[in-house]
Amino acid sequence: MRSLNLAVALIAVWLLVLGTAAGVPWSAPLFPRETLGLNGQDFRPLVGAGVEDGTALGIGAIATDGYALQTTSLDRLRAAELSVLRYHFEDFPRTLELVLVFRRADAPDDVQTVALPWPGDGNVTFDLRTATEAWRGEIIELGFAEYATSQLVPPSIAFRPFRLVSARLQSAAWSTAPALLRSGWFGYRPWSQAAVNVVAQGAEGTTSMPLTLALGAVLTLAVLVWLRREWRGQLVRLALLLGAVAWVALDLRGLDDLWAKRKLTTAIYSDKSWQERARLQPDEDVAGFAQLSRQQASSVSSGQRVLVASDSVYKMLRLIYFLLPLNTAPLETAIAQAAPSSFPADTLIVICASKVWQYDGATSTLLSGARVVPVTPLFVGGDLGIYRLRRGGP
Amino acid sequence: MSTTYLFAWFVAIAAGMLAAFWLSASTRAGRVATVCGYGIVFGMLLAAAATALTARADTAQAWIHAAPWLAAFAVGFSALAYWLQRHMAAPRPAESDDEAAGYWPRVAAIVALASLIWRGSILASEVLLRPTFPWDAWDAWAVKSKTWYLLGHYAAYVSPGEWLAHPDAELYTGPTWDYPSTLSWMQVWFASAAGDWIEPLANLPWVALWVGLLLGHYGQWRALGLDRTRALIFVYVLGSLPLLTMHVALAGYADLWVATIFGFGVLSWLRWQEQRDGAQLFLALTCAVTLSLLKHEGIVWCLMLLLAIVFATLSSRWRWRSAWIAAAGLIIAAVIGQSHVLFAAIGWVRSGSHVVDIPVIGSLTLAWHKPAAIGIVRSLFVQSNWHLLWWLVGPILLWRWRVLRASDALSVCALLLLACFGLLFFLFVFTDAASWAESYTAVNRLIMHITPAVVSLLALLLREPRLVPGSIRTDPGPDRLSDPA
Repeated sequence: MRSLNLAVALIAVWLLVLGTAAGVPWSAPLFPRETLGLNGQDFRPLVGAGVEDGTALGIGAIATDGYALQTTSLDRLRAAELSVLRYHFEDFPRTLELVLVFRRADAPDDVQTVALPWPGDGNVTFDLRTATEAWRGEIIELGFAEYATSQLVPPSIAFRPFRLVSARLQSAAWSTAPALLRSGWFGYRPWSQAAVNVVAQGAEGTTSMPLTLALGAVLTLAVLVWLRREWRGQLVRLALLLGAVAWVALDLRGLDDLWAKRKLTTAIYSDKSWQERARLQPDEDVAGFAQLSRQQASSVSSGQRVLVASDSVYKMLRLIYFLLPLNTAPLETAIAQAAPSSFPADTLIVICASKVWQYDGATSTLLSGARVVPVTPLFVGGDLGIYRLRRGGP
Repeated sequence: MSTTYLFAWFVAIAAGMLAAFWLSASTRAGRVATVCGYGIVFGMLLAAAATALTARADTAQAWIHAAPWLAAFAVGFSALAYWLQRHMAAPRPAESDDEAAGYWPRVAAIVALASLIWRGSILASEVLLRPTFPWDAWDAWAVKSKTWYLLGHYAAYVSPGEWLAHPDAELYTGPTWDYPSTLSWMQVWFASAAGDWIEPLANLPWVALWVGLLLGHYGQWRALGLDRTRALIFVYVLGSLPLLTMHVALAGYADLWVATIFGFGVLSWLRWQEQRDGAQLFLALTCAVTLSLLKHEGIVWCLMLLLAIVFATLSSRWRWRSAWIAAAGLIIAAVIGQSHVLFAAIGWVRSGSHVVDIPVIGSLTLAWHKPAAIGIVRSLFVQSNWHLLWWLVGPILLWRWRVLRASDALSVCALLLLACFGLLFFLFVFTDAASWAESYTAVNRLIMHITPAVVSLLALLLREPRLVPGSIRTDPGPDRLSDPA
């Protein structure tokens, strides 16, 4: 009887802890009250190319601007009642990231997006209500967009054909809790620039695995001590054991995450020479801009200075890094410190993806607000402009 | 990987190990691990120093110029250390064995070790495959090394103003022009040995650093009285910390170096306190100085470590007096509303009624930032950065409070770590740096700097009671220097 009490108490503790972590409302039924099932063929490929493949939709190509989009119209679906999304893809490449796209009836011109866990080959369940405040009102359009994982995967090798098999929206229910926890804790998230600052394994927030396991361990210890008086003398040993089990569980999750991330790295870079790997930069466009800029620059030994500007700080700094060992600096920093007339005569100016800096052909100047830099264009094409500083006013 | 690249690794690590060998001669327990751990880490840093001092004119062949000097230094230093060891015999501490460990803890330790080896192989392959990825790695730390290596010689990095003022000089600038150059020189060493600017090979030292961190801590914990099983379990604890793992997989930041050297410094200082081994005091001081050469924040940890070393040498009466003097100084500064304090290596720290001006950080406005406090709590207890480390700190301190109070070394170590944490808390919760905690950008990286030392404190609190400080064997023994590792 005592053992039964203990087992019931422990099951209750972990149901409480895991249920809270899953974010399922306590008032939710065991099974979903409402469900809306969509097959892949219900979606239309708006961007990129796709064909019906049985009940699925096969995506065979992305658009030239680097993404694919499939959507379907919905009949004013009430978001609050269908907050759990379950989606199923096949052969989804690890190099792509998946985004849910939807429109609401109250703002039909605004496209809302939510990053989704990588789908792999199986079903992934995701709670939209906790993921975004935008999931409310009435939904009139729903879709999936796929991009090369930003700042991580070279777009040129990111795409491989895959199939959108199905998607299902359903109301919250206790039966979805294990799947929600699984995707929340073990869903693959690719490396991001923030990973050196904060470790995001799966989705953080209310579903924090460390917090859940710590609270579960504390409550378990309390139950054990309460129901097994003879174990009170072993309090420290029990606590250490529970702590160790929780630690190992967290570490196995961490290793699983590390292994999944390694698979992406391997998919991109293995079996390639050092030179090939160096060329496979996630920002291939910026690396290309650097190559073009280097062709316009004098030799490194000339000491020529290169000033770089872009509306994106990331692109500017990457371009500077790619241009090394050329003697580079941010254009904005230089202009904040001195007038362009004081710059060396052969200074090169590289403008990358910028609307702030515009070339005025009539006056042969680069303009940014009230700032004017007289230049001679050397190369202008697409998002790249390469200029040589010109002595004298406009 | 070319033979020359591997040989450059061999030279650097051999030099470091040779130097570390003679500084770890006072104990057998964990000596091999200590020598390997400290040797790997300081070998890479010695390579950086040799490159900076001898290869500025020809960075493309840097390691060839620097290697003879590095080897000569290692041999000369070893001879000096050997001579000092012979003339300054340190007492030999009691050594622990595994008699107390049961079957299952040993199995757990072996499984933990296996998981670390697997983790290490994943990390190595990740670093060896990918070009430099994280932002500050290519924006800050690899900028100078790439420039110097590809340029073929050294060129000074200066402020943008100075760069513009001297258009004809071969000067370089950038957002991080004033960052310490130690790690850049280390990358020049390895790039020159690789024969090209191959980023994975220039980043491989971060994997070696992780190995050195774990080996060095294991060795020192053993030397400080932890049995093998406990030491291995705590190596697993340290090696499995997610944020540390990230800093190896996404190699290129300086923070793991600071964490390692601070951890080594604290351990050597603890050994000096408990075993009066002068070589360990030398290592602790070396670590303190090295911290200031790695990263700006390292200057603060350097000063904290030096203050702790001095504080530990004071008698109880003088410790209280110095604490009262410091408290009085703080109160007076608060009442007057402003103060100027000169810190070595930092310069004048000026505080006004609502502003603190710290040269290496900048001017910080003082105010309470509640979201930052919440951010710190989330970082420590909710996010996946530390597994359950910070959940365990409080209970272990409470459980082993008597052990902590009974050990002067551990008490002062705990005070040091508390002061470090207090500084971070003040920085993130009471100044403009709060945004770094609210956005989770720097808060975890700075906490990581003291984390290996915190793990050391926890490990040493869980030593077998018979091996807690005080159980020092005073007879060094005539054959001490010839003990096998």
